[in-house]
Amino acid sequence: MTSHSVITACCLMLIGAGLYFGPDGVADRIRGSVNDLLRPGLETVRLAKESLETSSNTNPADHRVARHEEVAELTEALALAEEHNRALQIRLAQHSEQRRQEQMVSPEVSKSQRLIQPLLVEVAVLGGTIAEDWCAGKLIDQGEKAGLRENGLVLAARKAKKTLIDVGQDNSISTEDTLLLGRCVIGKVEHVGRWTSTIQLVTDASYNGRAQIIRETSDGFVFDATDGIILKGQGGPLCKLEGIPAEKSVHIHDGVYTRERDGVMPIPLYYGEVVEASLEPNDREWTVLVRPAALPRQLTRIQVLRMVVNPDRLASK
Amino acid sequence: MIARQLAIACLIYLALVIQPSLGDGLGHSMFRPWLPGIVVVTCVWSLGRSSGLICSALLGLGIDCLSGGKLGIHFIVATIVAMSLMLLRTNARSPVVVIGMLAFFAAFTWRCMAAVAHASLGHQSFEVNQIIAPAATDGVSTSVLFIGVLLLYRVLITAFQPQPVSSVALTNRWSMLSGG
Repeated sequence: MTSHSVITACCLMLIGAGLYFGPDGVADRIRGSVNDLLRPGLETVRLAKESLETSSNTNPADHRVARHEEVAELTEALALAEEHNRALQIRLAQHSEQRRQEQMVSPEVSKSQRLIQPLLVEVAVLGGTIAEDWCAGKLIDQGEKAGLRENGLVLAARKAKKTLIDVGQDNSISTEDTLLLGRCVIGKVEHVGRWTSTIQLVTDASYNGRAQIIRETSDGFVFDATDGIILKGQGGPLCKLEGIPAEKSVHIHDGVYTRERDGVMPIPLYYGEVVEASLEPNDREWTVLVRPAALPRQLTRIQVLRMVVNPDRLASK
Repeated sequence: MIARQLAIACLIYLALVIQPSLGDGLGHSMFRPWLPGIVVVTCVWSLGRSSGLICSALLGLGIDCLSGGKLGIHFIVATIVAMSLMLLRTNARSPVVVIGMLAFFAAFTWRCMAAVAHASLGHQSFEVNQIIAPAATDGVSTSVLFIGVLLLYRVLITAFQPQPVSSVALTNRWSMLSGG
């Protein structure tokens, strides 16, 4: 090495030391200038590397694996979307069913020529104080000697804090008549008195009624033809659905409707929706819990559905 | 000479822009050449002594700027490596092998010195094994790459070098015609 080289090297090392120990402002300015100079090249290299990695990742095996993963993800997303869609369709079907019932089951007598027709009777639920006075005989005390006394069964049932409605035999109400609220089944008439009746809600432990499951699918409504399905109250907020064999399928959010045998009602009436369905390995039947239509806190007016003979047919005779 | 300096400038630029993308090795492998080592060897071999030193120092400054730390460490290390290569150059006889070994030396020394300097100046403890092992790997990768590039360069030069036109010996032909 010549002395010239040694001097150059020493100068360079001094410059390096100056850069290291020098002010940060100068270093930042130098760094910024150099980075600006290198940025186009760095970007080009980065893009080239990305394109190389992309092309190397597109070999058949990797591509196949990636496609399989993508297909699996899309299938899962599709299943979730279908499940959500089905739940929405069932809710829509239930709402449309209720709306159709409102349109078809009017309080007025239908103009059809069928002999037996459904009739809705608007009734009031007696409040606790009035019901107590009524059962205590305060309200009809004056007529008791003349035989104007409420049915003993109603009075006895009322002692068990049963709800009382203001119609009875005077309005041709009979036991097992269906009670509706907003076109949803909420119970039935238990005991009929002369002027009042006691009712039994679907959630009462002694309630039972024939039911069927109706499911809304992409192909339309699917009616379960299984006979013998019984909706039973449990004394709690949920009801139990019994009689569904294990080979049948039950889904959450399936609609539960009444099942009429005589065919008087043009459409089934709504009970509620399935909120839980389980089938143990050795079970022969599904264990299904149903949430009935929600009741208002203060029940004041409901409808009693009863059957009447078509007055037009009688008049034509 | 200007063309050579331009070529060296391009090499420096290429080394600076390519080296960051080799941070995790080529194709995520252990092959991680230290391109500034190759450029320093090229500078020392191709340019004059002072020019080689200055170019190496500028290359070190570029590495300093890209590394984000304080400036000057790679600048001084590159100068020291270039000086060492100049000392070793006088004894070089077998170009390809020796140049490959010098590339290993340049990369290994640079990586070791820079790591030790960073740790020492930053008042951090360091383990020799953790510095030497990656530096040696980088040195071997650099050496292999440099030897491969040199061999390819020589093969291409040989293949595209114009062949000399074979001269015709007129003496015999003249003697045949003249019958002499």
